[in-house]
This record gives sequence, structure tokens and C-alpha cells, in this order.
Amino acid sequence: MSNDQDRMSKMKRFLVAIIFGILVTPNVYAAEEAAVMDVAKELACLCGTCPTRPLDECRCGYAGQQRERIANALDSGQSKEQVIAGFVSQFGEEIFVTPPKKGFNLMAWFMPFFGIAVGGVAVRSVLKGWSKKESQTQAKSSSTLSDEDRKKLDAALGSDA
Amino acid sequence: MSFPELGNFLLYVAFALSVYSTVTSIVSGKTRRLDVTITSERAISASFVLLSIAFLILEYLFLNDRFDVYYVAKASSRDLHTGYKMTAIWSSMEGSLLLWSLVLAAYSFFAVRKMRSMRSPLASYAMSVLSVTQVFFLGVVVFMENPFLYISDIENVPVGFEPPDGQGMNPLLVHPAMAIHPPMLYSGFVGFVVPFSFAIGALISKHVDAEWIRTTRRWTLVPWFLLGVGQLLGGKWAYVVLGWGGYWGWDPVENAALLPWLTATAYVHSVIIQEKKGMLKTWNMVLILLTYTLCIFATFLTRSGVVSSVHTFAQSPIGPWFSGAVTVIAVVSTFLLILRRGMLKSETHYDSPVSREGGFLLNNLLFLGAMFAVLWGTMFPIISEAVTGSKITVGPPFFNSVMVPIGLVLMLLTGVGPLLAWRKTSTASLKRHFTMPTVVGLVTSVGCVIGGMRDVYAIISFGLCAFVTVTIFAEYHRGALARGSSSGEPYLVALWTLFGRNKRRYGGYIVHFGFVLLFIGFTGNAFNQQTEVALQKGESFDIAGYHLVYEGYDFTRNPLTQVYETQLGVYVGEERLGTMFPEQHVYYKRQDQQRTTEVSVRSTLREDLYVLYEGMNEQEVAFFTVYVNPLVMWVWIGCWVMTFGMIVVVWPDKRTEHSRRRVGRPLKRRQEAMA
Repeated sequence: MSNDQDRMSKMKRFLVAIIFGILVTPNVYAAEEAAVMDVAKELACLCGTCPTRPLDECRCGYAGQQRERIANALDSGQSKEQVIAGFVSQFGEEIFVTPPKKGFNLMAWFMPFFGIAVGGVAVRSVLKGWSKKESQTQAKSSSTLSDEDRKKLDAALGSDA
Repeated sequence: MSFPELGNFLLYVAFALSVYSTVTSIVSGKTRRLDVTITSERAISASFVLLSIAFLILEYLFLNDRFDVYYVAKASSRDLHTGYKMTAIWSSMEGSLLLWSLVLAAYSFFAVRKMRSMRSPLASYAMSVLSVTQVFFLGVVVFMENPFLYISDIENVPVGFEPPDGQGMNPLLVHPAMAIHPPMLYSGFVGFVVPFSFAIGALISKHVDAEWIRTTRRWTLVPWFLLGVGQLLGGKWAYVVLGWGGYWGWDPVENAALLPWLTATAYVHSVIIQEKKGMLKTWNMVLILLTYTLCIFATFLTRSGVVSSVHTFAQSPIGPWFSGAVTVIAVVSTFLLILRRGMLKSETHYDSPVSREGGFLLNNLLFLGAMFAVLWGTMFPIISEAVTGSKITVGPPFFNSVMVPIGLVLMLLTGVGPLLAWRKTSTASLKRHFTMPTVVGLVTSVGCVIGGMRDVYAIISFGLCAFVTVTIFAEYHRGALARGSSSGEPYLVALWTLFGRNKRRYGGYIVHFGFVLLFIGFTGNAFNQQTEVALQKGESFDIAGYHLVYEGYDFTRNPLTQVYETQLGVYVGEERLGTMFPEQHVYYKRQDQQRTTEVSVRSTLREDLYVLYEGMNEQEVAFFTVYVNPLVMWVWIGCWVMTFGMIVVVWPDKRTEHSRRRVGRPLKRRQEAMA
């Protein structure tokens, strides 16, 4: 039940945020929207209930508050980097919606493609192994059908592809 | 004996029967005695019957508001609609695990019926794996998450205590898609236990020829398909209930369900090579074992709360048991694979990487790579925190930037692979098959650019979708022509008989085409628009060519909820297209006053206009969030097309029914065994 209560209190915050966010500072918000979104797209919504989404896309009340905060910070003359630094000092690196591309966290970006590359090398060696064995047993197998004929035959016989 | 006690008793008996069938099927595998085989088969069938009755009893308890039963009081309430009372069973941990057990028992029951015609050692050991899995799940149900316990068994209240009403189902789950999403997903997850047990049975019994592959092909296709559709249903639910404008959020639990689907997709392709060419035997074994391990791993992630996610309602302390199960499955599988490695050598017939074999290998590489990328991204916050000590976030942009390129290459391969010939494809054949599709694909991409599209991935994606579509239809066309010229049938008749003659191949192409449509829908994501507006009655706003006017709201109160139904007139230019009714429901009887939003979606083939009513302030200013999501409908259409293709693929083929054969030593009658 505590989850539901959480959700409820978030819903309240959410409504309050929208009311304040939209009614109190609509013009400022609209004018700066592009700049705000430019910062917001790099940061994560850490409200804890919705899936972790970028602040520019998340529509929960918490995200609204955070965008408001970005707008205020930009308004007070801070640069994009300064605003982000402010968030990092409060939330740590968790506030970035994707792992920062430095230090150990580079591994996050690097490994998937490294994995595929390693797999690619493995596939290559398997293929080489096959053709080696194949050349040893080539005398046994012979095929006089062209691709086209084979296809016709497949279709006519209805064999599985 | 009261109904809850009877249900509980049946669970215990089913548990005992599963232990019994585990032991007897191992004995039957070792001794090959017919009587032992039969008794273990009967025990499996009986436990299915008992679990079905237990499940019906639980349904009865839900329908009759028996709130003296802890689980009923937790998951249901008097005012819940009758239909949802029936589905509330799987809205929380205890009942969903019982459903899991029941689905497992059903699969085991049908697998056993199927295996009666072969009764090989392989089948016996497969039965023992099915049974021991049931022992595990029923053990968790009976001893840790028993849905039949009275409140007085769990909490410090007098015996016979019955609260006036239940807590009720989580309102977010009160939705038709949520009623079918869990059973569908479970049928997928659990279904992989059959090929898994056949694989283990094959390894133990040393019958690692193509027999287990032939026997399990359909048993793999069905769960693979159910798992895929189950996920799309989950996406549909998220889209219309959670109200964040999307159907896929790369949430850890979504990812977890995607993992086994990716390895299973690799398997349903590479199994074709083994059947046709006797190659990749070890690899197929690895894929099946890995898929099932990932199924249990996904269950562990969902239930344990190791990673935070939208599925928090399913968490409980059974996590360690599931992580133990994952470890045991992985260790046993690896051990057996190493033990039997000598028996899994390939028979080889292969000439060139530009061949069907090469295409399948690349397909497997990419699906496994995709699986690894998703797994890595999902687990990376834990890994990073363990290494660096600081928390980090791996959000959707990470998965999009890693998975979109992989997805695009897979799409390309969907078009290329089926047209490659076995062993070696000649340059002439490549030219003949690919000139037209390539031209159409390029023209599509160029058309996108001229039309003002600037998203590189989207341009490539649409080009590839066109390319693959042409290759698929060209295949039907060529097949029909070839068949027509050899049999003299008219074109359309030949096209029809193609399906009858080779359901798997031509049904498979339909599935591929469904996949293309899904991809078109996914690509639409690149062009989503969203905005927030605050409107008083009569005010309007514009988005993506639509003109929306807020025309007021209705308030109604029913036994369960207070409903705020707003009305928005939708116009394009002067023409009124219709009215949208985004709603908010307040569950006013619940202590927490939980609210849910009922999204209003206006779907066309071109785009979804998606409006969310967020609430209202004291001045009656209504707040809306509005999304325009292009091409979403193609995701659901693609899902239907894939469904149709799958039905074609698995439609029983009379010819194969007769060609079943026995393997292994024949069973001894009891007298022979005793002699």
C-alpha cells in the first residue's frame, strides 16, 4: 500500500506543479522552452514512479518542477553547463539520463558493440572451420542444380526453406 | 472441509505428485520400464487436473467475495466488476504464481500426451525436468505465497475473521489489456520449459540427434509467439493506461521480457539450419538453454525488485529463490553441454559466407548482440555502482542509440537472408533478386528526404521497410510463378497452394511482413510531438494541424469511482472530425484516493492524437497533455499480421503427423524388466 500512497502524494505534487508551472510563469516558460528542453533532454526524471525518462519527455509533475527549476536557473543567467553542474552537485551522476561518457561508465557504451565484434570474430572462425572441413569432404558432395532450379524444386516439392 | 482448505489440500497433493513424477520419470529413463513411465505420466496429468480444480476454487472464492481469505481480501473488493474479479487472481504475487504453475502443468500435460507416442529415454528425462520445475514453482506457491491462507493464518486476528470489504485490485490494472497480458506473457515464459526440458533430456539420454529439434519445433514457436504478443499487449496497456504517451519505455522489466524473446528469435531461425543441414547442433542447444535461463532471470528481475521499475506491485521476498533457480539452471546446462560436447559435432555442407547459412549466422549474431546490449544496459546501473560506488542512470536514450542501429541491420537482413541460396549465392542471383528491392528502397529514402524528413535513422528505416516489403512480395510472386509453370495451376490457385505446401516458409514471410509493419510504427517515434495546455471552457489550441476546443466536462459517480469526463471538439480546418473524451477516475472509496487517467486516443493510419486529462484547478481551468504520435497504429496492425503468419506456420500439417518415429531402446514390459 505504501506504493499507492507514494503515487498519491506524487499525484498531488504533480497537480500543484502543473498549476504553478503553467499559471504562474507561462510566458517565461514558453519563451525559453527550447533552451530549457536542450538542458532537460540530458537529465533524467528521478521521481521513482514512472520509468526513468528524459526530463524533456516525462510529463509527470516532478519533471515539470525540474523543468521549472532549469528555466529559473537559465533565467538567472546561468549557462547550460552551470545548470547541469548544479543538478549533478545535488543528485550526483544519476541525474544524467544516460551514463556519462567517461571513466568506467564508458563501458556502458562500449561493451554492446564490443560484444557484437567478438561475436563477429567467432562467427568468422566458425565459417572458416566449416569451409576447411568442406574442402576435405568436397569430393563426396556434388550439386549440379543452379540456384534457380533449386528454388523451383523447393517450391514444387514444398520443402521447408 | 471448506473451499480454501480444499484448495490448499489440492496444492499439497499436486506438489507431492510432482515430486513423485520427478523421481519416477528419472527411474523410467534409467530402467526403461513401461509401468514406471506410465505412472509418472499419470502423476503429471493428475497434478494438472488438481491444479485446474484449485485454480477454479480460487476463482470461486474471488467471485464470492470470500474476504476471510487473505489473498482475496488483498486483491479484490465487492464493487469490482465480475469480469475483473476473475482476472484479479493474477493481479498480485500469490495468484500469479499459481497461474504460472497451472500454465506449466498444462504444458506438461500436453507434452506428455504428445510424448506417449515415442516414450524414449529422452522423453522420460524431459518429463523429469518438467516435473522438477513444477516442484520448484509449486514449492514457492505452497510454502511461501499460498493464496488459500486465511487472514487469521497470517495476521494476528481471531480465527474466522472476515473484513467487510477487500482492499481492491490496483486500479491501474483494471483494464482489458492487463487482463490478458499476464496469462499471455506467462504462456510464453513457461512455454519455453518444454524445449528446455527436451534439450536437457536429449543431453542426459545422449540422443542429441535432430529428434529433439523436430519434436520441439512447434513447442518453441508457440511460446515465442505468445511472449512477443504478450509484450505488445503490455505495451498497449502502458500506452492507454499509464498515460506517458508511449508503449515502450525500456523499463527494466520490459527489457527482461525482451531478453528471452531475442534469444528465442535467434533459435527459431537457426533451428532451420540444423534441420536442413545438420549444422549448429551445439549452438541450438545453447540458445534453448539460454532462453529458458533468461525466462527465469526475467521472472527474478520482475519479482525481486533488484532494479526499480513500473512492476513494483509484483515484488516479494521470493527473489533469492529465483536467483538460486537461475544459477542452478545455468550451471546444470553448462555442465551437460560440456559433458556431451563430443556428440554435437556438425555435419558440414557449406561453401561461402554469402549463403543462407551465412545469413542465419549473422542473424544469430545480431539477435544475441541485441540481447547482450539490452542485458548490459539493464544491469549496468548495478555493475557501475558496484565498481565506482556512485549511482548512474541508463535511460531510454541509451537503449535507443544502441538498439536502433542493430535493429536497422536486422531489418536489412530480414530482406536479404531469405533470398540467399543454401551453400552459395551466385552474383547473378544476387543481381536478379535484389535490383528491384534496392531501387524501391532507395527511391523511398530519397522520397523521404525530398518530403522534408531530416532524421537519418527514420530515412534509412523507411527505405529498408520498402526494400524488405518488395523482397517478400517478390518471393510470393516467384513462388507462385514457379508452381504455376510446374503444375499448370492458375496464378492465384498456385499462390494459395504455396501456403498449403510450405506453411512454414510462406507463413514465415507473413511474420516478416508483420515485423516490417511493426518497424514502420517504431520509426514513427522519431516524429512524436507533445504539449501541455491549460484551457477554460470554450478555449482552444492547435497542434500538428489539429484544432482542439475544450467544450466542458461531465461529472458522474458510480459505486467504484468518481468520473471526470472532459469533452474536446477536434477540428481540421473548419471540419469537425469528432469529440474526444479524456477522463480521470478517482477511486474515492480507497484510502489513498487513487486516480487513474483514461486517455482518449483518436487513431488513424497516419497518426494518433492522444489526449490526457490531468486535472482541474478551482477556477475550472482544465489541464491537458496532448501528444501526436505518428504511425502508432502500424504497431498493432503489425502485431495482427504476425499473429496471422504464426497461425499459418503452426497450422497442423497432416503429412508430418504420420512421419513421427520412435527413438531409443523400446520399453520393456514389466515382466521382461523383472526377468
